[in-house]
Amino acid sequence: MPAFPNVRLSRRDLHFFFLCDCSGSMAALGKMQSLNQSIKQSLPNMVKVARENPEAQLLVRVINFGDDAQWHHEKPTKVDDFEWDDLKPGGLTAMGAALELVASELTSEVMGERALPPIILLISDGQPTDDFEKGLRALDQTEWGRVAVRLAIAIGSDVDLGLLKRFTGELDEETQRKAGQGDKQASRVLSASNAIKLAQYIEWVSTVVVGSVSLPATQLNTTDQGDKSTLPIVPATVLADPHDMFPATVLANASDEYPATLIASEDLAVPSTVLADPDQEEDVVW
Amino acid sequence: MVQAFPNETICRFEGVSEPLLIEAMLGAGSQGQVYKVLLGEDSYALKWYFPGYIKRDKDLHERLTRAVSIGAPNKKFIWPSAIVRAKGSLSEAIGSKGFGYLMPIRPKGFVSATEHYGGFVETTIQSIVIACRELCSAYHALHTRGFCYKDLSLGNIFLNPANGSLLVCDNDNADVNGRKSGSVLGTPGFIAPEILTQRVSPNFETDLFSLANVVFRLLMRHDPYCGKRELSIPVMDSAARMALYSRNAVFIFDPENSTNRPDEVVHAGVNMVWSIYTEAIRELLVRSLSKGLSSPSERVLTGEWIDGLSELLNRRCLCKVCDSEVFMEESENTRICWNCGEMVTAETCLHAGESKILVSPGTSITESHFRRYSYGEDDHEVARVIRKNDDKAVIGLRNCSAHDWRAVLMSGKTVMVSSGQTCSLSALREMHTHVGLIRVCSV
Repeated sequence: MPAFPNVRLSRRDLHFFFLCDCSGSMAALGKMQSLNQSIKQSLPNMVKVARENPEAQLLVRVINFGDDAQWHHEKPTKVDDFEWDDLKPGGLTAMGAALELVASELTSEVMGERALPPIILLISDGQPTDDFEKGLRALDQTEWGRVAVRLAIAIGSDVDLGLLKRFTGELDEETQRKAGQGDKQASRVLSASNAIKLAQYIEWVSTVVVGSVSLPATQLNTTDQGDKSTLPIVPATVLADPHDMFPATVLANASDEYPATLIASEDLAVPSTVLADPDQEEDVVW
Repeated sequence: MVQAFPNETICRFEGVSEPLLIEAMLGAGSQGQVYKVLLGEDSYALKWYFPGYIKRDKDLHERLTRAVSIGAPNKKFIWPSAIVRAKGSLSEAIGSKGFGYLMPIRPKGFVSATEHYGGFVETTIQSIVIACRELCSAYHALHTRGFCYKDLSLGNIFLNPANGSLLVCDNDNADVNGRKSGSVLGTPGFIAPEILTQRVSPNFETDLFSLANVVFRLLMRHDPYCGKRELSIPVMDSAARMALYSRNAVFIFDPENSTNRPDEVVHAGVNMVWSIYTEAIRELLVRSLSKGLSSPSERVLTGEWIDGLSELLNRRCLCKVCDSEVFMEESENTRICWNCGEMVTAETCLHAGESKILVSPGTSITESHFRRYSYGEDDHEVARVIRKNDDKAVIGLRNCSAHDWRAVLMSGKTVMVSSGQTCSLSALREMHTHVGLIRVCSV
């Protein structure tokens, strides 16, 4: 049987880091279970997005932080092969150490010479109990840390959102905007006030953000049509709006009747090639 | 994922006379969610937009209204058939004046073109060339109606790996040519450079650039601007993509600029696959993707693509040793097999209409071989060269039409070849079909 040439597609690594808060407070209100479930549930869609972007090689790693920061899943693992082990709560909130730990992996020696911008997702329900500034500096000092797409999910209301915005780099952007540069984007610090929002945001980061770093999504031309002096804005990473989702309660009109018949789908014209039947007596026409 | 509509609910919308039964969510993207729904006895797909997206894409409703009134350019488009709006209690429940549209359900057997690009499906070169031709034909039909697509990329195309049949999806970005609407620009890597560097609005010529880009990717399974230069870019972020694809773009096979040739190691595949095709096809790709970067008028037109890809199919032969597809150059009848190195020789060809078609198992004769083809119309297979099931060395010409044909054999005898029957090629001199004469000749 003829076959299309079996050539390997050239790919770039896309490293995805989960930095997860496992402090004692995560034991309350089912937060740790929600986080475990949300990440586990988002994996199949992550696999799907990875497959739709074959030029990117999606590799997942996980750091947890409590009294200190440790690798929960150290080896960069292809998302198809990645299995989630549940995190367990207990201890303080060594967020600074987590940033230092991820920074140590963002050097050129470890990352290699060519990759897509890594994605770092920091998830926390509280304030750091160690030297956050030291961790952030370590991250900002590495080449790959500087270009990483950084997002944060704040669980509950005890989180210092300003601090998380320093991690994501948004406070710097706000300063720039006030100086007349740059374009307003949706915030990369997402506040999850309940389990459903947590699941939604994790799903969004692990699919839409991964997709747009692998291959930027369709861009909307948001600039003023009359202004010829500026080019369309292409921010460092093109992100969709994380608030593009639906409220958790949607109701249908339950009183409508509907016939319960099974339907065939509408076919479009597709040319078919069907091989001839096994031969008959004629050896010329069969 | 939170769905706008839970599964197995019945919803009333404005724009449809009966309620819709929401069966299941089929998928979600950055614009909204897509559901399988039942309207009466028919299945459709419903795309429902995120409220935030509706706010950002101010042109959306007007564009959709226009698309619905024009109708699908040809059968290759999964096209919006009706706009539906939330109303009444549904509108209150959703919390906004949302809307979406209905479209046909994609039939089974079709996969995203990214599946082929990533090497996840088995297919043949013939199927991919057919898919490219159908894509160009679909574009021709779209442009003829005054529309441009604006956002072509691999993610919007679906193909059947078994036979190359193609469908174009995500047609809610299509709009009247040259309209200065403030909406979609396209996908980096596929967007024509002038859109990014000179603020030109999407139009037919920018579509032709994206089309050439997609044809290259389908035929080669490689990005046309990803060569040595790409290796020297450590971080592939949006700024790097802008440089690689617009301001400093160099086609990897640009005849006048070799600074971005494929790397022999990292990009080894594309050098090999490039050599499989004919000089004629390579020239079309070079024209659109080199000169066509800065000169939109150089870009290959849809009709030229259709003719070029048809001729490529006419030059297809199979290697007798390993069955690989080999494409003969114009007026040549031998070539070394790219896979096993054996010499492949074309011995027989068919004359159909004004076309000369080399014979090998899988050679396909279509209506377009016989008449001046109207680009954009459906083309149907009428005959195919096949192997006999119980004797693979014997090949015949199968009547794939619904009509009965008459064969004149080399002996002079005439036999009937009914619909579905096959006539041995070695015995055949000419076949009288309902669309014209097919003559068997030596090359």
